[in-house]
Amino acid sequence: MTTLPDTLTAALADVAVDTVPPGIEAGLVVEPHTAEDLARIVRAAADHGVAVTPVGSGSTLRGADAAIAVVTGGLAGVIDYQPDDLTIVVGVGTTLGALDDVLDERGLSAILPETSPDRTVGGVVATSSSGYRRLGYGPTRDRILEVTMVTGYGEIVRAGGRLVKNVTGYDLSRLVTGSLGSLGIIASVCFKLWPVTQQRRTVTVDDAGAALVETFRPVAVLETEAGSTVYLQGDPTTMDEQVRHLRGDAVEGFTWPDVPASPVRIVMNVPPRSLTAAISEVRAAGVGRFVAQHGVGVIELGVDAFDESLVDALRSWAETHGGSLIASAPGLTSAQRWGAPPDTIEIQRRMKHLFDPAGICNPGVLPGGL
Amino acid sequence: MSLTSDLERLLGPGRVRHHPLDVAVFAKDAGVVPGSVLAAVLPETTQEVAAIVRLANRHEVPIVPRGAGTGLAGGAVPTEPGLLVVLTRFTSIEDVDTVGRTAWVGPGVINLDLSRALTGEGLHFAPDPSSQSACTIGGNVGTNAGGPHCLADGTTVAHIYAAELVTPSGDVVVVGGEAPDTPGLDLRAVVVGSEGTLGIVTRVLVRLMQSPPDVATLLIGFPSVESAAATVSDVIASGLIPAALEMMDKRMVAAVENFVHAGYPTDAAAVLLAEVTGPTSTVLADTERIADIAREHGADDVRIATDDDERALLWKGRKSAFGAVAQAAPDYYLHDTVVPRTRLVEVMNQIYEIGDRYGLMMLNVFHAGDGNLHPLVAFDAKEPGMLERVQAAAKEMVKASIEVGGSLSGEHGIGFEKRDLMPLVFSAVDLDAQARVKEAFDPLGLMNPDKVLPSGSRCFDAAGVRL
Repeated sequence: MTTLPDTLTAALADVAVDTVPPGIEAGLVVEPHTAEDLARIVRAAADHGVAVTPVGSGSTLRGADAAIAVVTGGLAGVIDYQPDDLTIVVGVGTTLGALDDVLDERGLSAILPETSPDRTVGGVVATSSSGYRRLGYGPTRDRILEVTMVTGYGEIVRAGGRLVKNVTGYDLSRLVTGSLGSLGIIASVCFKLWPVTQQRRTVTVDDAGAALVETFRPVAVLETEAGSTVYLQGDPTTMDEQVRHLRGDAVEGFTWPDVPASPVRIVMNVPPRSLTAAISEVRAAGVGRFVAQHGVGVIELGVDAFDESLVDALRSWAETHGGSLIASAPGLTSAQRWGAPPDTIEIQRRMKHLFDPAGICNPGVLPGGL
Repeated sequence: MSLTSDLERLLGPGRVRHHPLDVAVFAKDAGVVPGSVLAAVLPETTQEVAAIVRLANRHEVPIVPRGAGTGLAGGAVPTEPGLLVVLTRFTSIEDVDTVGRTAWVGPGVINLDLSRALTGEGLHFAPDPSSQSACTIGGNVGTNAGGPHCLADGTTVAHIYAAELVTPSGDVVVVGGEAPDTPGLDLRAVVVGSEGTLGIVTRVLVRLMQSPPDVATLLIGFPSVESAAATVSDVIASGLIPAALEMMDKRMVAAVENFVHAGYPTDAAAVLLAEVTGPTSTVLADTERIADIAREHGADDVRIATDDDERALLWKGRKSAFGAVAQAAPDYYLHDTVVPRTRLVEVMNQIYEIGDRYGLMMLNVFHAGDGNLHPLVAFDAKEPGMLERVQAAAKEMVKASIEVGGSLSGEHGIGFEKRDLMPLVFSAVDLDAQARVKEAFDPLGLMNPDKVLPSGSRCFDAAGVRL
């Protein structure tokens, strides 16, 4: 770990904290409380050529060990909640659980990942994580309306708008979603909300593929090693008919698969039409636990360790079928994480350089080692 | 060798239009900004588009992509003498995947034609702007088009999984992909809504939606605009997001009814056109809920379309709103502004007030569910000083929208027309960041210049300006 220049540690003394988040190695840990604090941190880092990485709950992908870890707990809380307009602006340090507590009162939801209440909004946005309700609601990125961030050159930039419909310029909020802290650090996010007061049912079925085709807009159709389930919501009479048609067993509410925590996370992304075949490949490769989303094309693999030959085989299959396999675990190279660099690497390289000219924002975190 | 002769060698003379009479047709879109066209070309393949772009680069001539030219903001109109690349011949619909619910579509496919072609599969393309019988998918991608059914389904960006793009330097790349969560930066999401300034889209992988088994369309007359707006709020607050919620004011209804004769209630202060979709039991429950809430707010005229023809007629009324206005005056100026839904009535009243002050007749139609207003001014441009009054009033109306937390465009885009208003919404630093997005794709600035961002937006250098 490089020793940081005195001028840098002095400049950031007022935002430095002693508590090092678990699993993080950094020369300095800072906790900003405002976007202005964050801007000062990034500018100082850029001026000294020292890498910064944002840390939420610590479950997010990280690039090379960063000299400065920016914990986002001080950027938590509701900034602007407009339930009648179906929008909410929150700081990135807000946990998903805390967000749900605020939204539950009015029966609203941002439809974020369902099973990790301790994750932060910033982590979800930076990794563009979607939950299981993606089939019915679309991915998380479709619900990000506005972002305020500090770019890699230290400016506070607002992009998008707190409106559910908007085409006003280049939507940076969409670019920065999923950018893994490579273009800067997000300070706050505005989400589009949905009412979620309808009744819900979880239906166990034999054939997920048939259920997908025959049911009108289910919220999710999942398949795990234990079986397949269809998730319905809406009017009870309609759901009665749907359950009858599916010939499945229904329980009230949504019961999501229980995915045990693991230091290794592997996700295969394939075209939805190839999902069933992909599941066969996963099974044949000996993977015992998985959650596959029909109609979406995402399969999360349940593994405890990074097995290079397994990853290579499944990645090769996914890429041949027009998809990808993304692995995250401590100490992976960019190629091990991402596989083949994207088609658009030249444009991405220019974008990265324009937003992070000093190369300090999670360097190496993007595919192609950007 | 001139650009046009190089292009003729590439495409043959028939597909290179540079005669003044030919290009006059291409020098305008549906808006008010006239342009300057050196030549218009009609390619038929991606490789031709790439070759055209490389030729334009060699001659340092700006390029402007164009679909059907139905845009309202001057997005497809070259501001300086430029080469228009017309994509209307890219009309293929291929690889329709009924399991994955996707299709690869040429940018020249007309929006309504796409949905019609898929009726047999029980699928459709959700974005449905009023111009859908003329506008192209490429144009929809360029403006992140909306339409009444985007309330529940989202705008175009939520319905594009991938796009094949010819970059401003003439390379061919694919942004997004057939599988979800393409690794790396989400360039796809930036290309959608970029108004032809980041490259030329030559193929699109569209998301298709399951067509609903049943549908009900309601036409409700209200004694006041406030009661109509309150109904919209209460419907949404009850947990129901209908497929569409459109509102028209009394003047607009009068124009529409005179044109379409759909039986719109002409003595209502405001009319709500609502649509609910889904399985029959859901449609029945939702229809009842909307009707009940409307009656609670004083609606005495609740009409539910009883068959497809009646449904189509009610929608024809809504979708011909702009054309219907031609009966009132020879010219019209259509605004596109978006505000938080709860501020709609307030802004609408301000718009009437501004109209009164400038002596202009305002008619209103809007996407009530998502706060996207389309105030329309009917006028005669030949009247002395009229155009200036219309433009001055327009600027005040935009400011009124922004003051309540709105933005410059809900669905038509910024184009040329609104670029100088961008500083009303974004700071110089914000605009500089947006200019970097543009620069990453188009370092030379040849692709549709002078659109979206005001000139001089890229003002901070890499070292930044320290305050």
